Amino acid sequence: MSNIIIELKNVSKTFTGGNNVVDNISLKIKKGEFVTLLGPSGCGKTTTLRMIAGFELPTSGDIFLNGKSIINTPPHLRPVNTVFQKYALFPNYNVFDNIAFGLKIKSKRTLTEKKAELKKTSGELRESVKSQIAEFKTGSKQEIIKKVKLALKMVGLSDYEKRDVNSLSGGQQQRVAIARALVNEPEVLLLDEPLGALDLKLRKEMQLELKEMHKKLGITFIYVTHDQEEALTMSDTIVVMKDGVIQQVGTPTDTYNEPINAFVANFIGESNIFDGVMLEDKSVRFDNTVFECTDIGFKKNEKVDVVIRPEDIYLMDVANSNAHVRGKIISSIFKGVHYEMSVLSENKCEYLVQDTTRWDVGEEVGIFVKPFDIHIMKKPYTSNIFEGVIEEDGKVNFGGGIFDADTSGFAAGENVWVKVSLNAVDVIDDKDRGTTGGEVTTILFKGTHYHIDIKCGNFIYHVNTDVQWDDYDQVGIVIKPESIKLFKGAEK
Amino acid sequence: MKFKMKRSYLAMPYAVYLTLLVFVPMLFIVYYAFISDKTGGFTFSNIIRALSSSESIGTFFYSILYGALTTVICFVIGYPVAYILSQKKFKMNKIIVVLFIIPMWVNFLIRTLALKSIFYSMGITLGKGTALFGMVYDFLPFMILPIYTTLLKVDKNLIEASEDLGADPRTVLFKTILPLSVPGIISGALMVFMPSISTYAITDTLSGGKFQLLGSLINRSYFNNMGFSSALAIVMLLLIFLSMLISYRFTDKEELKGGGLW
Amino acid sequence: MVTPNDIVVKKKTSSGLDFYKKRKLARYIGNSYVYIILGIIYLPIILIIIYSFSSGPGFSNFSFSMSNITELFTASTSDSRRMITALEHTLFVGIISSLLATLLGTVGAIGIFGMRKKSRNILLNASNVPIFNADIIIALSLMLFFTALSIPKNAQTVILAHTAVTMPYVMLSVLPRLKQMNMSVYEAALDLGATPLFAIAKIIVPEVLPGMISGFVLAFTLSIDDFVIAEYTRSNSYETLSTYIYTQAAGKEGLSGALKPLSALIFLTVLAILIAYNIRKNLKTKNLQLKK
Repeated sequence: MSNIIIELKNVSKTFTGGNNVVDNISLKIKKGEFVTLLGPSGCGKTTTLRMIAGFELPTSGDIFLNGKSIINTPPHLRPVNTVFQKYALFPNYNVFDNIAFGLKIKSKRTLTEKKAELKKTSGELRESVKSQIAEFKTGSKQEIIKKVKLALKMVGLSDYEKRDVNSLSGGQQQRVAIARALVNEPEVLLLDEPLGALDLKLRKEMQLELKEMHKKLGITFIYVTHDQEEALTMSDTIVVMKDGVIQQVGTPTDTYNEPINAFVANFIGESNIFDGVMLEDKSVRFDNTVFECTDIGFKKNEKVDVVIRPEDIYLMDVANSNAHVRGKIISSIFKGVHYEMSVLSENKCEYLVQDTTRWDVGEEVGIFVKPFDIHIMKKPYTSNIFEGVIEEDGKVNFGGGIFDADTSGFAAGENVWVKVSLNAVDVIDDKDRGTTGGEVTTILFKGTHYHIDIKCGNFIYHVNTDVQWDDYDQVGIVIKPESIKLFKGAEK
Repeated sequence: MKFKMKRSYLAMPYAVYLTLLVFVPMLFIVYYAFISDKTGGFTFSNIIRALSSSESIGTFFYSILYGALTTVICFVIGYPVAYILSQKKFKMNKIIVVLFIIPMWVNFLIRTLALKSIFYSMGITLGKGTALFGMVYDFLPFMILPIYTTLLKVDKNLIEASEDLGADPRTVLFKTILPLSVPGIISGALMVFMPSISTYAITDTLSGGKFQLLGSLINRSYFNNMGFSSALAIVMLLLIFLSMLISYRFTDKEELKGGGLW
Repeated sequence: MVTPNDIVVKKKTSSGLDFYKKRKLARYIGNSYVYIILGIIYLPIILIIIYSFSSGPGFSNFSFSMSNITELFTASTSDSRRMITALEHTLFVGIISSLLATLLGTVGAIGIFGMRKKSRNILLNASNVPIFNADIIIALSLMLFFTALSIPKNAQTVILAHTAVTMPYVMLSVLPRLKQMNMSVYEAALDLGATPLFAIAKIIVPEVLPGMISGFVLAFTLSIDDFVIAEYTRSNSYETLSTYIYTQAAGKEGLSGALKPLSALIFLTVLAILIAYNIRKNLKTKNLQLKK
């Protein structure tokens, strides 16, 4: 048998209203693995978990457990158990009955089956089945008590059996929820942001305990969180998601050290992300400076994202000839172990630096980065491309709005490709005054400017802007007619 | 502290009005229950008659039986309605809930008379059955609405947790949803049971005078025997108090305040 | 040979395959059930509307005629004149008593909210008495009370009675609003030199206004729907719509002549008000969303 326990194959979920929450994801999870689905809110991680549990049906695609499709198996027959975000303890039962809930159902089901068997059997065999049933009845009761006590002991809540669940603290309730799921000995334990409602100290404690439990029990954990630190601490494998799409799958170390794109780099740990140009193999230019790096295989003059971790930037005396660029410290904060400083370079590019040596605000410094600390990433996109249609002369419909554009050479009703450069999209703070409008979803600081994504219905605009917007800001989008480039060849 | 004292004075008119027009009048019932209609002197005969005459004992029996029957039928019909309406998947639910409330704005006697017209045109003779139908018809929304509001408040995660732990739909219903909706069921049962034992307009109109519940007996006796009527009212008061007491044991007090209906 | 384990596995797959389909079917059946119950509830009301266009009483033998409708608007017979007067009385009693109840209930709620816990609970429990008490007990007690004090029974006695019964409902719909509200605002007003009364009028009342309105509507509904209390506290000549209808109840055909179109009119008015209210509410929320 293969060691893959859960497999998702091209799974998509579209909610009514056309909102595409999970978009064609495929994922294999190994037996005994601690997998974390990580991403910002609305990235589809919880929906993915709920599809594995059976609470949501995928719109398309298939889910396999031990190689068998479970897409048609209702949640109560799937050998997986869930720990819910807000505990979801039954308020009408005490701690014992909450934990025993699943076991009691299972024992009752077996009992009904045995009774059905009794009806079918006749003659001498009857007596033996009868005694089997009687034996099972007493046996299962003892068994349930034993298992519940064991589960309570595991979560450190022995002697809490008779307690009313409402009288427990948040941390205790979460422990009961974990015990209630684990007591059923599921093949896979699903955890939906289980520690989200706890305070920081308790959360750290529970993280270690969960990790410990995972080691001891050896069952597969699928863990959903938006907290990258939590993911890095606990997981064997991290699955980073964004907008319903898996960005990267890897170990915590790999994900941190080798982020696959600027989004992952920004989401996991802190990063400096710059727009750069690959001059040739092992040579990249950003901040108007040529840096040596280790990456090869890019096209000449290809636009790339350059990622440097703050702890990989070295500050040195401004006169040091090894410095790549020079700048001035604009902020310096002590963070316990290190100082976190911002340096504004001569070319007005901002670097975030972590260093154990302190530099004061206003001091001139030199910046040095080792070649292998410069991570080059392909840009997932270099401009906005939409499918559009010419509405009438001078008007083109795309990306959720009707824009003024130069349509000469195109006929009304013709389908076109629309290309808008990242710098050509103007963002205004009144959603209704834009040609179209939406919500700010992703924000990356790129040293000199911000890169943001704006979600307008089902369309996503990628924008470079100097203004600092916040997540969930409702903004309008305006594009100058001359910045809208139309191309023939769109189908349909 | 000073303004707080002053603010609480504002409850005075309310408290005085409540005392004068609710509690003092009820003392009159107690008073008349111990006064002989004939002699005007003190007597226990009204109370004794209310508790022991075959007429009143029979009526108690019928009241409790038919009150319980109305409540149970309303529950059996109303619970599924409330449950389905509380499901998110049912798109029109908000509008439907309003549709269940609208008839309550039409005078209940109009609805009762309309039922009588229907029974007449269908050739159905009036009796216990038609009276029961009328009570169920009039009081059904009182059962549906509190259960609906309770079910709406039930955390959907609990239902999923129950499924997750292996409960099939039947088990989810009996082990999770039903126990969690007990507060709504209790207040719904109260709101149906109490008016159904005390109403006389519906039973008198729809039974063709063939049977009477406690309310009818009080109403009929009041014309010729005020003392007996008052004594019966005291018994009914005790009955109401008793059912409230039972319901309080089952639910949070908060749930009952204001009927949980509106 | 079939072992119990095999049975388990078989059962799992077979019931599993249909589970989501079955659930869909169950939902479909459930929805139809709701519509059927709704249909039964509305049947009498729909018949009332249809038979408003038929002559004679009740729902038998439909023969198209506008006579009942004409009768409603011309009130040519003494009976329909009685009905119209009763309707006027109902509206009069309803409006006056619910205004009184709103005033007493709101001021009472503000007072109760400012009380210490113990006295507050006493008053809250006392308020439950008229809510849970049977109509007939309240009616009987008030009748005995008015008779004993020789207060002449007329419109005023009905109004006094209805106010007593509906006032707690107003109080209970205002109280949650007060609980939600941030009392520091009120205290800030006092701190800035406002008198308590001024602060209540300018700070608290606007906050609890929605509760007052729904309390008023509820009180009005209870008043116009009431039969028993009005029956016991009115004078013989002062009829409300309910008591008038009850005098017609003895007729074997149920709803008589002009009462049908009147009932239809009442239903349609309620419906129109609700639709208008909901449209306004929807527009408001839509505007709010747009603004956001």
